[in-house]
Amino acid sequence: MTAWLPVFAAGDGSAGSVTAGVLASLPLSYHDSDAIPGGVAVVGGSGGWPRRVAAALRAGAGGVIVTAPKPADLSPLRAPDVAGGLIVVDSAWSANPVVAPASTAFRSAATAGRRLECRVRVGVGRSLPAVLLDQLSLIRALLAPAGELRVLHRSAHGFVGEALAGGVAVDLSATCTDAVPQRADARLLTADGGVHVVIPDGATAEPALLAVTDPRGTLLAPTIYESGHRATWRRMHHLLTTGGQATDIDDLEADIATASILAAG
Amino acid sequence: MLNGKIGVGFAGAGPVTQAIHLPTLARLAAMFEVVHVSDVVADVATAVASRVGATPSTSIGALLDDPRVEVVAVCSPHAFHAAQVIATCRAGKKAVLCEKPLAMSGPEATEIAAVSAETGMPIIVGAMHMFDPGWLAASEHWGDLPAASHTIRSSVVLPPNARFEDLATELPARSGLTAPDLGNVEGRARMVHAGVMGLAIHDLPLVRSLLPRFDDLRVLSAHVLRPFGYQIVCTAGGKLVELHATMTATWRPEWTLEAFGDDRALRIDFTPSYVHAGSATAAISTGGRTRTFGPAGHNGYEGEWLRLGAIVRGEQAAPDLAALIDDLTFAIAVADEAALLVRSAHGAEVPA
Repeated sequence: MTAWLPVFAAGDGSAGSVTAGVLASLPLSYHDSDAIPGGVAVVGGSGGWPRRVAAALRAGAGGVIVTAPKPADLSPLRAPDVAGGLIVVDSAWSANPVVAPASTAFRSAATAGRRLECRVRVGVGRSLPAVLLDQLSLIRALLAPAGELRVLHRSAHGFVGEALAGGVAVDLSATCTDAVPQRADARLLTADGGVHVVIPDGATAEPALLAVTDPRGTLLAPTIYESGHRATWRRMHHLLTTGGQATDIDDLEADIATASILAAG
Repeated sequence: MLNGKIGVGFAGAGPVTQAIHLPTLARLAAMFEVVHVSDVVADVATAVASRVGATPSTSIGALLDDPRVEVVAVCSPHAFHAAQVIATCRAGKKAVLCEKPLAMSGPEATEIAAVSAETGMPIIVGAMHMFDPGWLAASEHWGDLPAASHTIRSSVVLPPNARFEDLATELPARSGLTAPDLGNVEGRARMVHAGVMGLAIHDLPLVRSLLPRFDDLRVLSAHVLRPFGYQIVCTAGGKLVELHATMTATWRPEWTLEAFGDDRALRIDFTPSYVHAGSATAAISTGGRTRTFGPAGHNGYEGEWLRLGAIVRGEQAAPDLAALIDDLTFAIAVADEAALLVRSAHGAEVPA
């Protein structure tokens, strides 16, 4: 029988509407609760989120989901009484269920001399450091942690830069526009084809598209009509019920450090 | 005109003439007749001319002396374009179609401009996307996109030319191309430069039409993509421009041009070079709606010859030569600066 876990919304409520929709689709896994202990707390990633996460862990949450975390000082999470707590990050692109099969394809195709293109389209006015953080999370998930980041250009309309991930050159960019749906687009071209994934913004269950091209043709991976949000909650349920661990906070901290170059600009 | 058709002479009978222009003119046989084919290699001139019942020759002089030639198509190696366009102007022909690039330097472009102005010779540059119905529809319906756009991106993913050449025609032979030595900086710089002047140049006029100015061009990054290609990031006219191209053994070509503004976006998907696979498809998105244009039944190769025919018949004006010169100046600037950056291997963060 599936463990039926209580869910408690902690903090500023910024995660509310999306969470409600997702939880409505996981009625055997979760139920609303006014009390935390042993259950899952959800924290919105707006300013001060590390403290709210730490507070939720201290209140007895078995796990905490942070939605769309902005760059922040994570030292509150390193306090001895909360360090090692189960924290899962619901990141804009990397939480999408296509990422697991996509990463297999990208890592297989990533040989010396090739380049990963990672381009995101986001709405006008988005915080560019937060956008970059989401993008770095995606690059890490698809290929490897990104480092040696150079920002070539930034403006109110976005940014473009270069990095290295697992020894592969990365061309990354963010373009701010309200004209077309938000999405992330990653492509790695090979000598005779390539890997291409397009990830929608998760506001709906529109599936991501993963295409692997070689001389035999293009193989489209099965479409998964599930948002990254729902996939995150299923992941949390699995970790909580199996006693698994997550490296999300360590990964996030490293990406925040990399993304700080944009915040400083 | 001969039997109501415009007589065409080709200066250069290589793959571009054979795979692009002869099949294109065959689709426009009611309008054009190829009457003269000139190439420095006599056997090539004879072989290609014989396919269309044209007169062969091995010199531009013989071509220009042929009174049946009304329009000259300059399809020779790039280094000869300027001189041959100028010679055509002075020979009193009705028009010239010059394959890109129009010239290889600013001084050459200036000389062309002067001679064209002096002689009144209409010039079309064979940047086929400028005449593609998809592009033309986009430019007619894009509203304030040129002013409102802030990001422009061109991406070209193609197999080597031979694949589409073989689908567009049958070439009796190919000249062996020497692969550039990418193991040294100079080889890489030359590849980037050649990539811009040979491939990016197809879309740089389109990019430039979206820029308010380009005299402030700044190339921020330039990389060689192996086995052939480039990744270039630059700014001009207050906008960010990315130029990407790679030629691999892929069977899946992709050729796109995108422009983004805060509330308006354009995406154009072009069909591959050489083959007659119809026009590009253009999508303009704004206010939650997307309008799609195309594909039309003909591509930019036909488009440029249709325009040339209309010019010769006096039905349409020639393209503004100043604009063509600006297109070339912009391309040379991008090529030169990108190559310089590769040589210096220098890049720096540029704040807003």
